[in-house]
Amino acid sequence: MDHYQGRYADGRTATLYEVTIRLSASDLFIEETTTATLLAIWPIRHLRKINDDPPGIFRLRCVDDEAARLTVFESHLFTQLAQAGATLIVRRSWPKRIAIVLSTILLILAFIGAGIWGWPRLADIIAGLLPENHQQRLGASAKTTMVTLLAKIYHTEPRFCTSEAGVAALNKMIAQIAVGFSTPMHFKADIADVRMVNAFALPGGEIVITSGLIKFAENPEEIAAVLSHEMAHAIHHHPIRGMVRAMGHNILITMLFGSNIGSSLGEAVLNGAYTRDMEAEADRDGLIALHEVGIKNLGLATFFKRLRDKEEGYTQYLSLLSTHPSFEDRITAAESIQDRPNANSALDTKEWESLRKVCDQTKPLED
Amino acid sequence: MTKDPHLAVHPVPQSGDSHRISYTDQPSKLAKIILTNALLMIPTLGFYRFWAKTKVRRHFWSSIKLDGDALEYTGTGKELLIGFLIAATVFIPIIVVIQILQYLAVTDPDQYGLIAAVVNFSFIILLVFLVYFAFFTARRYRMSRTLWRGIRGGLDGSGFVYALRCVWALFLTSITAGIAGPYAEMPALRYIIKNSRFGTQRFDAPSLSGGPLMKRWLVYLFCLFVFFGALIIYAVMSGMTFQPAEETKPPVFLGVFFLIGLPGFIVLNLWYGIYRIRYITSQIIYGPVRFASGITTGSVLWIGFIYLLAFIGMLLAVVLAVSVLASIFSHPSGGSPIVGAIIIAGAILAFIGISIIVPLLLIRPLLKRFIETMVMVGKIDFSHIGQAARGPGRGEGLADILDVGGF
Repeated sequence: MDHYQGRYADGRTATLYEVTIRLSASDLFIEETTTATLLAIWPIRHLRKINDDPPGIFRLRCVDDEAARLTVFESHLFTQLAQAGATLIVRRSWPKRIAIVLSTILLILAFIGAGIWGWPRLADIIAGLLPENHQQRLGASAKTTMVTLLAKIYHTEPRFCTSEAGVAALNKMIAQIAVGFSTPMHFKADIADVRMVNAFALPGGEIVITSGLIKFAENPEEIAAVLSHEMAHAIHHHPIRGMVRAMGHNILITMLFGSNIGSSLGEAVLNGAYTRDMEAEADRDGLIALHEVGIKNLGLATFFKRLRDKEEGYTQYLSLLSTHPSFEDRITAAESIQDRPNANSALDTKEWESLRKVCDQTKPLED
Repeated sequence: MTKDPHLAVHPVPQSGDSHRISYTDQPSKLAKIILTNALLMIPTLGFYRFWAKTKVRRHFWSSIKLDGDALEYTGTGKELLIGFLIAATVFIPIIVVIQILQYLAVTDPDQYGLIAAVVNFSFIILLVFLVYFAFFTARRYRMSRTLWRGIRGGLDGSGFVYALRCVWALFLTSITAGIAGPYAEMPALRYIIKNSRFGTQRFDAPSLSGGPLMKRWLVYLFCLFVFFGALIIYAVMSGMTFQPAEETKPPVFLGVFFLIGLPGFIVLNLWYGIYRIRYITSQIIYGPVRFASGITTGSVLWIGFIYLLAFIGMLLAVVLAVSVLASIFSHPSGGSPIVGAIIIAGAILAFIGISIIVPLLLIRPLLKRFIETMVMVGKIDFSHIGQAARGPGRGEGLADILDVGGF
C-alpha cells in the first residue's frame, strides 16, 4: 500500500485539511496528516477527475459526495488509480455520442428548413390573408418612411416631383402597361426627388421611382421597363410578402445567434435569396406585359447595360450578397424576349419632354 | 500603492496574515479552446455557443487561485441551452404580438394607434428593465456554478428589485444631466454586493457611497460636455448635418478633432472607470477581510492598445486578402460566384479572428492584471464558511437573447 500527500476539503466548510492518502485494492483512504483522523473513504470506482486543471494540479471528486475535493500534486497516483480500475474521466458511449451529433444536425436542419423553406411559405399565406385596404395603408405608410429615409441619406428635403404634365405622362404610361397585366389592381406611382437611380414597389400597388432614375433614362422605354418591373412585383404581392418574411427572419436569426452578431449579414443573405427569385419573376412578367400592350421592350436591357457600366467596379463583386440577380443574367433574360413587329414607343416626344421636366415643380412630403 | 485616502487600505498586507490570490494559465491552452469554439460555431449556426462559453469559463475559473486552490466552474452547456430555450419561448410571442400591433396601428390607426403606441413605449421600458434583470440572474447562475474548495458561491436577492434600482438610477442620472451618476448607481451596486455570497458568508459594502467618486466624475462629465458641445457648435456654425454626403469633402477640422478627441475620450473613460473599480473594490468586505485593487489606467490602456492593434491588423489583412483575390477572380462580364465565395470566406475569417483576439488579447490580460493586482487584508476562518444551497437549475437564457455581456 502506497501513500501520497494531498489537500482535502470536505465540501461542508471551506476548511482545508493536509491529508495523507492511502490506497487499498478498492478504496482510497483520506486521513488528516497531523492527527491521523480518517476523514473519508472513497471507492476507487467512484472517483472522478476534474478535468480543467492547470498543469501540476490534479483534483479529484467522488460521485457519492459532489462537493468534497481532493487535490494532489503527483501524477503517479493516477497511474496507480488507473491500474486499480478507476474511471477517472467518464466518456460518453459511442451510441450516445452519435445520438448527440445526429440530433444536433437535425436541430440545425430544422432551423435552416424553417428559415429557407417553411417560413417563406407560411409568410406568403399570411400575406395573402391581409385585406387589400390594409395593404394600401401599409404601402402609404411605407412610402412616407422610405421617402424620408432617402432624403436623409441623400442630404435633401423629402419631396415629390409634381409638375402636372410630367405626372400625367407617367400615369398614362402606367395605365397603358396595366392593360398588359389584365389586373384589377390600382397602381399609384410617385416620383421622389433624390439623386439615387432606383425604383421601389410597396404594398398595395404603391410605387416610388426616383428623379435620379428619370434623369438617367435615355428614352421612355427604359422608364416603361422599370415601371412594368415594379408593377409585376406588385401584382405578385412581392412587397407585402417580403415584409412578412423579413419579420420572421429577424426573429429566427436572433434565436440562432442569440443576439445581433452577424444578423445583418445573415439577414441580407437570407432575404436576398428569395428576392432574387422574385426579381427574376418581375423581370419576366414585366417584359411580357410590355410585349402584350406592344411597347418596345428593349428598354430593360439597355437600362441594365448602362446601369452596369455606371456601377462597374464594386457592385459586381456583391452579386451573391445583393438582392438582385447579376446584370449579366438580367440582360440576357431581357434580350431573350423579342419586340412585337408593330411595337410602339411608350410616350410621344412631347410627353417624354414633360416627364423629364417633372421635377420643375415639387411638393414637400406631408406627415 | 496609492496616496489617495479613499483607496487606502491599512495595514499594508503582510504575507501570513492575508490570503494570496494569483492567476496562472497557459495561453496556448486557451488559444486551442477558442479556436475549436470558433470553428464549431460556424457549422452549428451559433448553437455551439453554450458549450463554447462553458469551456472558456472553465479555463478562466481554474486559472484563478486563492491560497493555492483554484476556482472551479461547474456549469454545463446543457444548462445554458435550456435556459436559452425557455427565455426564447417567453420572448418570441411578445415580439410577435408587438409586430402584429404595429401592423394594426398602420392599417387601422383609429382603433389600434393608441394601444400600439402605449405597448411600444412600454416595451422599450421593459427592454431596459429586462437587460438589468438578465444581468442579475446571469450573475446568479455564474456564482452558483463557482466552487472553491468544494464550497459554492451564490447570489441571493431578486433580479426584479435590482432592475428596479437600476432603472431608478438611470432616471435620476438623466434628470440631473448626469451629475448625480455616482450617487444614483450605488444602491443597485450595494444590492448586488450585499447579496453575493461565498458559502454561508455574505459580502458587504457598508460605507460604499458616490461621494468619493464625485470629483473625478465631474471632471469626466465636464470634458464630455466640452467634447460634444464643441461638436454641436461646429455643426451649427457650418450648417452641416452628420449625414454622409458625397459632395462635401471630409472637413479637416473634424478629422483632427476626432483624431485627438476619440483617443482622449477613451483615456478619459478609463481614467474614471479604473478609479471607480478600485474604489468599489476597496469598499467590499467579506467577514474580516478587505480588498484592494492596484490596477492602473496605464496598464489597462496598454492592454487595450495591443488589442486594438491586433484587431485592426487582422481586419486589414482580411480586407486586403479579399480585395486581392476578388480582383484576380473578377472579370468584366459581371459578378462571378467565386468572388461571392471569397467575400463570404473573408467574413468567416474575420469572425474567427475576432473570436480569438477578444478572449486572448483583451479578456485574458485584463482578468490576469486585475487578479494579480488584487490584495486581500485580514484572515478568514474557513471553518466558519459553510456550504451554500444549490443555485438555479438552468442557465442565463434571457441574458443570452439580450446579449448582456459576460464571457
